[in-house]
Amino acid sequence: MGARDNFDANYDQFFSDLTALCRALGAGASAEDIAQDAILHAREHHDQLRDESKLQPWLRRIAARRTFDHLRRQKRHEPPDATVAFLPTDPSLAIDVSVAITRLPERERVAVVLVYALGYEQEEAAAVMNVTRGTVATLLHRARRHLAERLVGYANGGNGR
Amino acid sequence: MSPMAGHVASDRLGEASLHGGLETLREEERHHVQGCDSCRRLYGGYRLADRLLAAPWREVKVPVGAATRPSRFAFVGDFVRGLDARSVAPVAAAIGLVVLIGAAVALPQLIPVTPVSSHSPIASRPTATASPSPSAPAHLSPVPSSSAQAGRTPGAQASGNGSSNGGPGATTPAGPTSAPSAEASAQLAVSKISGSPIAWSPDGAHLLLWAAGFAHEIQICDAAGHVTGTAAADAATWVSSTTVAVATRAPIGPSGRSGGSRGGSGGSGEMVVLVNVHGQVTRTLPGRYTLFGGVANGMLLGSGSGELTIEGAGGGTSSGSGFVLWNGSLSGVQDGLPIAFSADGRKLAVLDLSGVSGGSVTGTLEILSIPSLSTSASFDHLNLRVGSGSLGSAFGFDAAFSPNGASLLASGTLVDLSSDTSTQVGKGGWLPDGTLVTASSGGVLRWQGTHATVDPRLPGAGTVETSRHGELIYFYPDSRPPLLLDTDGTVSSLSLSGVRSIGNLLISPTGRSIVLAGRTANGSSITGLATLP
Repeated sequence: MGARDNFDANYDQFFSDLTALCRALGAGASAEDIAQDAILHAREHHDQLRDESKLQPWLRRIAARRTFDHLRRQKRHEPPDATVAFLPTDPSLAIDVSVAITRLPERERVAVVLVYALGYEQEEAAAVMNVTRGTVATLLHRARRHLAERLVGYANGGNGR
Repeated sequence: MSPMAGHVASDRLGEASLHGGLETLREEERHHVQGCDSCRRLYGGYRLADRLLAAPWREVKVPVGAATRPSRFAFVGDFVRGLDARSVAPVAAAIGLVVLIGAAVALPQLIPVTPVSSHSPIASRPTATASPSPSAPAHLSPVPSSSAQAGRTPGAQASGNGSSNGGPGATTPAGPTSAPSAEASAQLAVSKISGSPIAWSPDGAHLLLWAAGFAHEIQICDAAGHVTGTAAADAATWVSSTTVAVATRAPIGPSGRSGGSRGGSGGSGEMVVLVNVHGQVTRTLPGRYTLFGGVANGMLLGSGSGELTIEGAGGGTSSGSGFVLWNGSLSGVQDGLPIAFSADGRKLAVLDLSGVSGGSVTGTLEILSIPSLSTSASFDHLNLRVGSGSLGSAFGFDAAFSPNGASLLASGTLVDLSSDTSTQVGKGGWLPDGTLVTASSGGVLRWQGTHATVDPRLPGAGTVETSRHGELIYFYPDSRPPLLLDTDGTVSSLSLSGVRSIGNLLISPTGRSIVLAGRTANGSSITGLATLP
């Protein structure tokens, strides 16, 4: 099976995986477009991939990079749409508690999203972020500590409910 | 024991939160934490952070104010003032926070959905949890003795959303980290699935889930985890074993999938359709509905036997907008917020709201007869607070009638509908014979009236999950294996392949299968299905 055939045969799987990634990274309604663009780009530049077994991490990295580019452009030109968010539907946790995730440093937040929201293995997250697995582990550790520090008041004051 | 020179290191508190609680600290550390408000609060922060990180995620609407509101400087300030040895880090964090806020509000909001005590909106079966609440870690609160509990006024204990609660009349429970005692063990294969579980169908043959990573879409899969259908949805509930009610603002095609872009923020409201397990629309119900409080929680409530209530029929106000009943045809608009159907679908518990906080609601209880919707009992003196109970997002409240419909358990409060009395019992569920089981810091409590005894076979602080068939699963927030109490009284320790800890779990009504959300050995999140022995 040729490389392009491989893309075409697995298009649905790739598209679903990348759309979920882009959404989780914040692409919102643009997630499907970005995912599709990433696949098309990868399909056209498949000769750049040396190891066929790394196809999925490569695709994810492309999609992630395009998502970040999209977000940077959006931030420059459009007001943020703050009415759509990943939120706890469990009312026992205040929205403020969950919003603490968004206030993490970006790299920590991305690591948290990849591992905790999407269920990536740390190695998979590292491949997307183009860092080592150890770096991902460190980012996750820091993210947890930062979250804990920011949630102190909620835990103590009952807002954690 | 020599006193500690400074605070317990943040990482040590984090490890304790992750690995079983303060019991895992050295004695001098534990002693310090018990007397140090700063350390105790930071430990609470870790507990809350771990709750967040263990949660399934999904994209939902959020009130604009919440998303753009600056962080709570007050609590950061409190934290700084309360610490000596840690003064540098929090100040830096606070300064960093100020800088980050600007970026944060502009960034997409990615927030985990927190799994809490689970119950199916259809099965109306809340679970119990004895996990320490963020505000008051159980390890720091002495477990009340039986004599102390015996003297407690029923209803005097604050509802704690899963915090340990022996309740009045409970016998002395064991310590919070008691080792499980099982007569047998079983190795269960866990099939990984994607998505965030919402509820089993009443017959246990299908599972309703949020589609992974997608906003506003549900999936229906069979007990083997194969997806049988999808549909665009802002809220969903099982109406019967073969029918799901779905509320959506998106144009929806015959296949149940969104037929185009969402409807935007116009005032047209949500439409409600019925779909089969293949996601195909079988009926579109008349009218448009307003999301209650802007969120889908509580909008739809199904009985599992064909009845459905839809909140938001009266235009939508903060105090509730009224609901309609659909049981083949639509009723007129009724006041109040439905929170639970009885098992036979003949009774409906409704709150006349006096307050809404987050997604929990407070109000006086009324019991309506179905289908007449006439009031059969009213409890004006009882101001009941009900939170949600769900794994992913059940869109339902933590309330369940007893099997005979004579009592109602609502977020840890047991209401005897015949004697008009209420008792704080902790969160739990019902067994088919009418026994109420709840969780406490010392283990599972079995209730007879207002007296409870600890089941020694199910020790420690955990979460109770019961099936309609009579199985009971008790699972723990750490790496201890869950315990299955079968209908024949056998207790088995369940070893779940590839799962280190369980954040939440739903047992199917037939007691044959479970779906769980938890962590693998390397800390990744996992959602999986397993067949019980």
